[in-house]
Parts: sequence; structure tokens; C-alpha cells
Amino acid sequence: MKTALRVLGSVFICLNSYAQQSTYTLFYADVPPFSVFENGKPKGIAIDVVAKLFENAKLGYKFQSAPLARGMGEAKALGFTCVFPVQRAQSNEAEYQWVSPIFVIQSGLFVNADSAVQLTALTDAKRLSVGALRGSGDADYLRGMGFAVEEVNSQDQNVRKLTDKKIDAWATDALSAAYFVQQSGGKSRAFKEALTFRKSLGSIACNTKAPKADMEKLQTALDAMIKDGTLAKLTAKAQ
Amino acid sequence: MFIQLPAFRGPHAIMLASIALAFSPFAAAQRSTGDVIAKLQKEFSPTTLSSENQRKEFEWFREAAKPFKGKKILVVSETIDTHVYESDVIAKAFTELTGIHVVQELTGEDDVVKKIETQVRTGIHLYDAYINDSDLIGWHYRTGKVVNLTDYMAGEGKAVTLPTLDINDFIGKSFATAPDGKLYQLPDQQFANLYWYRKDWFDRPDLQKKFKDIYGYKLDVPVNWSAYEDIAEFFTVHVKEIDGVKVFGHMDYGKKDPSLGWRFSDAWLSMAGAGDKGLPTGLPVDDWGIRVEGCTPVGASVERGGDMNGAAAVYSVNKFIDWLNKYAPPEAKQMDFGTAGGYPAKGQIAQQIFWYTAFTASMNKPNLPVTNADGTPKWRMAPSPHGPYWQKGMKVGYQDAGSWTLVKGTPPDNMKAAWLYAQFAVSKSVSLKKTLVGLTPIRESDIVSKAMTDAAPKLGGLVEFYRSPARKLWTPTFTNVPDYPNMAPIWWTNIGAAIRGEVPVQTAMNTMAQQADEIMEELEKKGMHKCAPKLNKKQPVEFWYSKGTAPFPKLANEKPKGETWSYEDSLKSSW
Repeated sequence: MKTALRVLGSVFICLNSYAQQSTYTLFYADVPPFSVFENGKPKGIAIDVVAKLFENAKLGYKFQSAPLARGMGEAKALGFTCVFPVQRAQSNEAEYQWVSPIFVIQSGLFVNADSAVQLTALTDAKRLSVGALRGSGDADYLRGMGFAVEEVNSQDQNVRKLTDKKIDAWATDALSAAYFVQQSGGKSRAFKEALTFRKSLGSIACNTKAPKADMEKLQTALDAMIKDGTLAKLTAKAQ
Repeated sequence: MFIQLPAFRGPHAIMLASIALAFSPFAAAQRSTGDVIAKLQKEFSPTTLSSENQRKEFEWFREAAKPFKGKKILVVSETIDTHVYESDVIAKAFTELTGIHVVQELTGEDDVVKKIETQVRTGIHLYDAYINDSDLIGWHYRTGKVVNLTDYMAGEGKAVTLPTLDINDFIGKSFATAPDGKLYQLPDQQFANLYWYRKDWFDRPDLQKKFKDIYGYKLDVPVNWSAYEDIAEFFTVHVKEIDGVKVFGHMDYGKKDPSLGWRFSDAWLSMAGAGDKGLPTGLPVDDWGIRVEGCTPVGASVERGGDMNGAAAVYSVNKFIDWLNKYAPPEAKQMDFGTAGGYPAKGQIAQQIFWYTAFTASMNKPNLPVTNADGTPKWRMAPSPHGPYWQKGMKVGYQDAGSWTLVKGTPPDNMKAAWLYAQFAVSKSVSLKKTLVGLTPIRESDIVSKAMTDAAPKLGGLVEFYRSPARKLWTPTFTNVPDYPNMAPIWWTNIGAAIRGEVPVQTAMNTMAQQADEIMEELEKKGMHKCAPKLNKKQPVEFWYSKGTAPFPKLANEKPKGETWSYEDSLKSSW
């Protein structure tokens, strides 16, 4: 979900009954359908989950939209600051405290419905031109596996490029694929998933100096939301 | 369970379903059995099986997999050569043979640990199987959330258990066996941590003379850390350049990330001499510095009878920092396990005290500065030197087996399909070829094979190590660590702070030992399925010193005289 999109800079403050405590600034990136600033409000699956999580943990919070790169920088530098949704990985483990998973993402390679591409293993796709969102976890992962990934600044561009057969495959998560195809208003053809290649844990990354007790509260609250089905209900909206 | 975001759904779902048939990844499985098996026999050659028996094993897999044909399973492993071969070749071959589509995801080792911890903690079905280090056996056993394979093979999984699996052929079987004598993980790849050095440089008469003149003894394989330190200084400070290339007497990595933790938790403290005598790990104090009674962990800090912050542990970390700062390439401080692993292949490193044999494959490629024209290596792997606190009878170094692990709650058919793939990847039909590609042997039958004899001259001592019974002196973290996923971070966070100079080493180790005790105290309160920790009361350090076991007091002289031996003698005496 790492991406460098436009700066929205909007702040949506949820001053709840815990406002007398330190309020967490929660940076979120504009990565529809997970989190987006729309009609003056933050929206999306990740927004719903994180809001409910902070409510349950009884911690004050305010949302602030920003490109993920900036959000990650702020969360690294400032106390009582977190950023989401971030893919928790070995490479960034040391830089934050983590609350995870707020959801699980399954990434795949999507091709045009009439494509003759047949993939059994990820290595089969190395002969294809593969597009991905610039700076996304999927782009990073595939580059690490030796792919020459064609990166663009928006998923809309990937949809167009795949439809116009300028790329052979689009690397993204299943939910984004469905969302952006739908957003294209039927102009794009149907795509199919040619190969699932990984799962990742969508997470909240918080400043390393944030109180450990708060992090424990959040993780305990998240575990409880998983156990009692709250998270299932919130994420079901996306299905 | 729920929170996995949906597979590609929505308005095009129906269209997708119909297209999926036309582009089924299983199309190849419609080839005749003979064609597919002939293709597999060509790929998986050599094998220790006769051609006929290999064919029979493949036929067994094809038959046993029939109920699961068309199923897709997802497994995950770390990114090393062996697993790349599995992901790229073995998984495809299995799919072609059985019609079960396997995706083997490759990721960082810490990611594998985080993911299995998440599945165990939350019950979310993430993967159908994990290739997870046997270092986690203590946690697997105690959580009760991981499938007991001994019982599974005899019960629910009997019909999908390969009759010719031959568990006793696995050299890492004991690594994956819990205190109850049951197998919880099936070894898939195994590697040790050995000493690596440039034998061609060590053998040069001019360098031999220069070293003797400075240090008074022969430049050769170091027996102890004093000699290692002298050799490190010799190449970095005195030799400086060989054939016009800047050289260094030491290589390591120091970036503060999870892989820094393995650099220490993989037996570094015990190589210095922390803990007690006894195999596979010290008793009553093990190589993490955790004291145990029976299968019960009772403390990590010195005041509770552990050795995590004892004199040997502190010495070991001080030496690590000292050598990294003085003798390693400057960039090593910012490197991690992955980036540092292949570094010696560049031809600038004279020796490395802590070198994973998993990187053998990257060290013997043709045209490398560390490879001769005939493909033989200029380097050798040799027994690890030990620190001044080490005593005969202690483990010599670290070895572990990345092992197939099934988590309870996985849908039964997925588990069966994954178990079939796991066995395929380690079957005698496949394992010798996999071993020759990835050089992480798991089967005794492969190690003694003619193919390994033929390969030995190009592997710098790997085959000799694995053929020696002394390989049993290199052992994994083993069963004492009650919660590996939650205890692993205390290593890299605390020692990482010491490396960066943020806290003194003794302070870092004290904090680490205290945190280990706190985690175990929490586990004691919550309770575990089996063998939960039960902490000792705090006692003055003299109380523990009087016991005659670890922890031991600080030595007056931590740098005894350097001692070396010939490569040949090191093999005879240690291996």
C-alpha cells in the first residue's frame, strides 16, 4: 500500500471522550478502496477498522490524509503518531511499533480475460511485462524477485494499460483489482487472476516511542475484534 | 475466518469462473502419466532411488493427490536458494504431476515468523503450510496449536503420508522433535553456521611469514577467538591489500533489524562460552542463557540462574562490536543477513567467524573472485573457533532445519494437499537434486551418495562436515525457548542499541535478560499447553556461582594466547 499520491492534507478529528489523553495522529494514504478522503471525510475499510479499534482501546485519535511516504516519515519521527495501511515486513519492522493485522491482502497477477497467459509459478511471469502501482508493496516485492516492473502513479493507469494491452499483467491485490475495474465504468474488459503470488498483513505502524501500554491496548482490542467477528463485519462491506 | 479480503469478486465473477476453465493451470496435468513422470525423472536427477522406485514414488503422489485435484494451496518460506528452487521448479512439478496448484511464496524469515505467529494467535487461515525454522519447536510444542506430525501420519493424514518417507533418514529429525518424543515439524532444508576463510591467502608463504613475525604463531585456522582476532587485525591493519584489492580480516553485519537478532540468538553467546556443557544445548543453562529444569524454563537473567547477561554473554557482544568497528568493511554496519551473506564472494574478505552454509551456493559459482578456473573454491569452511569461556562438551555452533509446519485449524483438505506437497519437496525422489542445487542437505542417504562425493571438491568442506558425526555438535535453538516469536525481538532491539552506542553492552544485556524474564513471567501467569515457564526467585549472583554451573564469573584474562591448527587437523580433531 506504500504509494506517493497527492497531498490532501485534510484533517478529520475524532475528538471523543478520551480527548483529554494524548491524541494520536493517524496518517492514512489515499489508497482506495482501503482509505480515501471523500466528501470531506475519511472513508474506506481501513478507516472503519482503525476508528473502531481506537474507540475500543479508548484512545483519542485524529485522522490526517497524506501520501504514505510522508505519513511513514511522520510516524517515524513524531510521538503519538501512526500511519496506515502499511504492509508489515522484515524490512520496516525495526522502524515502528506495529498493530497487526487490520486486514490480510492477497496479491495476484491479473490479465485480460482473453489473454493466453498461463502461469503456474511466479517465475513464469518473468517473460511478461508487468505493471504495478509505483512504490506499492507488490512493486517492491516483484522487483526483489528480479522482475522489471512497469510502475505508474495510479491504479487507473494500470487498468487502462492492461485493457489496451500495453502490459501483459497487472500486479495488485484482489480487492483493488475489483474496485478499479468497477470504477472504470465498464469501459475496461473483465480481468482474471492468472496467479496468486503472496499474502501480506495490512497493519498500523506507530512511532517507536509511543507508550507500549497503548500499543498493547490496541493489539488486545484488535485481537478481540478478530475473535468476536467485529472485523469480519467491517471488512465484509468490501465484498 | 473473515478478514482476508476477497478474492477477485464483483460484477465479473461469473465471467472469471468460465474463463478459469479455459486457462486452467492444470492443463498440463492432462498429459499422460508416463509423459509427466518421464519429465520429472529428467528434472529430478540424480536421485538415490532406482529409476523404478522413483517412478513408483511419483505414481504414489499422483494417486494420493486425486481427491484434491484442482485445489489451490498457499505455502510460505524464507528466500534462500533452496526455497527459490522449490518455488520455481518443485512446486510446478508437483502441480503438473498432481493437479494441485501450489503457490510457494518467498519472503523474509522474520515475515514467515510473523505470519505463523499471526495465524496461531488469531486463528486466521493465512497459509496451508509454513517452512519454519525448527528453532520455534519450543513454542510450537507449548502452544498446542501446531499439528503433531507423528500422530497425524498415523491418523488423519495416514492416507496422504508417503510410505517411503523414511523419517529416520532425516539428519535433523531430533531438531523437530518435542520433549514428548513426537515430531512437530518435517525438515526441508538444513544449514549450519561455520568458520569461512580464504585458504589460498592463508597458504601464501609471504603472508605466513609476515603473520608469524607479528604474532609469533602460524597463520592457519583459528582454534580460539584470540587467534581469530589476531588474524582479523592482520589482514585489515597489516596486509591491507592483496593483488591491488583492499582486503578485510573480518565480515559481519550490524543493521538494526530482525536479522541482527539471529546473529546472536543463533548460538553466538554459547560460542563464546555462555551456558553449560551438554548437547543438543547446554544443561541446565542453554545457548540463549535460559535455565531449565526438566522442560520448564526458570530464568534468563543471572539473578534467576540464567546466563543471558552473564560475563560470557557480555564478552561475546563486546567482541562482536569491536570486530565490526575495527576489522570489517565500513558498509557492514548497515548490512543485514541477506545483503551480507554473499559479500565474501566479492573477494575482499579473508575470514568470517559466523558464516551460514546456506550461502554456499552463492560462493561457488564460476568466474567469482573466490573460485578457481576449474570451479574449485579458493575458500574453505572449517569448525567455528570458540571464546575463552567455552568448555569441551559444549555445543560448538549453530545448525537449524527450516521445516514444514502445519497449523491446527487449517481446512483439512488443504492441510492434506499441503502435506503431500511438503513430502514431495523432501522425498527421496526429489531431495538429492534439491540438495545439489541449494546445498542444504536434509537426508543421510543424500549425504553419503556418489553425487555428493563427486560434488565435494567444489563445495569447500560442506560434504566433509555433513559426513562427520561431529556435525551433531552444531545444534539449533531447541526446545527451551517458550515463545520464540515474542522473545526474538528482544535480541535485535537491545543489542542493536548497544551496537549503535546508545547504551553500554552490559546495560543492553541486563535489559534483554529482564525482558526475557518478564515474557516468561507473563507466560507463567497465562499458562501454556505444556511446559510453561516457572521463574526462579531472584538470588544474589554468588548463589548461582556456587552451583558449579552457568552462570560463571568474569574471567581475569579474556584473551588467552592465540591458537591455530591446520585445515586438515581441524577436520580430524573437530569434525
